Amino acid sequence: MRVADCRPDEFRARLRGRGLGIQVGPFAVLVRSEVDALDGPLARLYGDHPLLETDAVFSCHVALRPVRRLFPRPRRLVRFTVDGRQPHEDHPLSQALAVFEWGLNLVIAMRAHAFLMLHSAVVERGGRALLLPAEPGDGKSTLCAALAGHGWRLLSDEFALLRPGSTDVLPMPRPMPLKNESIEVIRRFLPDAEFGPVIPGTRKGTVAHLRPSADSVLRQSEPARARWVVFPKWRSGAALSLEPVAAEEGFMRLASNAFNYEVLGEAAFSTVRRVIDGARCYSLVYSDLAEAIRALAELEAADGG
Amino acid sequence: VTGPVDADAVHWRAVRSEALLWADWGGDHVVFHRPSGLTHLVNPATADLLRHVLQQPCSMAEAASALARLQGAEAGPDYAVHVGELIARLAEVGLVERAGARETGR
Repeated sequence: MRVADCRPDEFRARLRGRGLGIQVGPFAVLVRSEVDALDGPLARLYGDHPLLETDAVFSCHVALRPVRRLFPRPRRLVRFTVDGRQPHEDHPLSQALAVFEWGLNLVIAMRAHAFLMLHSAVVERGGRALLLPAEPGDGKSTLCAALAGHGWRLLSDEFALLRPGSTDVLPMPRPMPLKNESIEVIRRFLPDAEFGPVIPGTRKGTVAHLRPSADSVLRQSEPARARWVVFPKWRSGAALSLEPVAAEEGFMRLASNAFNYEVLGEAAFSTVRRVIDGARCYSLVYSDLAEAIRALAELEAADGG
Repeated sequence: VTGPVDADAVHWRAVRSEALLWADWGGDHVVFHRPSGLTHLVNPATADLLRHVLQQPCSMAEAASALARLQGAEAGPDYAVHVGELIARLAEVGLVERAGARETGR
């Protein structure tokens, strides 16, 4: 049963009551919410995800509820908690969806140490995974969204999850957060894309979430072998450049971009080494999405695609 | 009470080989230091220093001579200074340790 198969009244009752269980990649998430404005976006953006019964064993229990603050001025805020604890300060109520998505990222990054978690978008084609590790502002999410709309399967916009010792990347398809100018860029590039509400004034500017394709969610238990590691960099007006990166440089850039490399230590070292052994590393500078997508398609085709 | 130390009397050695995990693909080397959990990128000369030259305790001058032979380089004064600085840096991050010192007590 998918989230979308849940009747609206039952969906709301679950969120307000015992919780809405959602399978997100390898994680079973139980969500409770008392924020009315969150019901619709959650139902749409997670519509294809498997719905879990509340007697399942959950990876985490998250909750969002509205709170009022009177000083220094009256404000309506949203409080995010995980397993009853509040990991960060309250945010404006209008940002509840972004707070939920950031909160879920935080929970995964802080807890999921059964996996090596690389800070990377991941897409797949022909059973082979393309990793896009990047710093904020490098255009990772925009490129990932564009690829996911042009023949690549979304595994994740944020996390490359690997079991220690394996080079299989585990999918965790979720709504992709686009920021500021990227929202309009992707609206024009993918006219049929389905977005959640536009949320202005967040700590990252204006944010809107792109719904993952039904196919990517349906195949979320199907991993893909890491084959390409491409470090993207969006630069206004730049000519396209896709250049090989030495394996050892790829190793260091990938390892230093991980959420929990130091936590896993030797297991992380060995896993990244295996990824680099089996992958080819590149640096991509781009300003034009269509050119970048074409270059990556050619890379895949030239590599026996 | 300790006196000044004769630099040539201080001997250095790489940490035991079981403490390090190596990866290389024909260029620079990546080394994982098990005791600290830190990963370092080192050039081939540094890898030679750790994996070969400093497997036996030696002074900085001896290490510079041995590394120069291994690298086919000329072991001039600048080279020895450079190797000395390198050993000091490697000691800071725990990849090299003092093997012992004979105090001169001048």
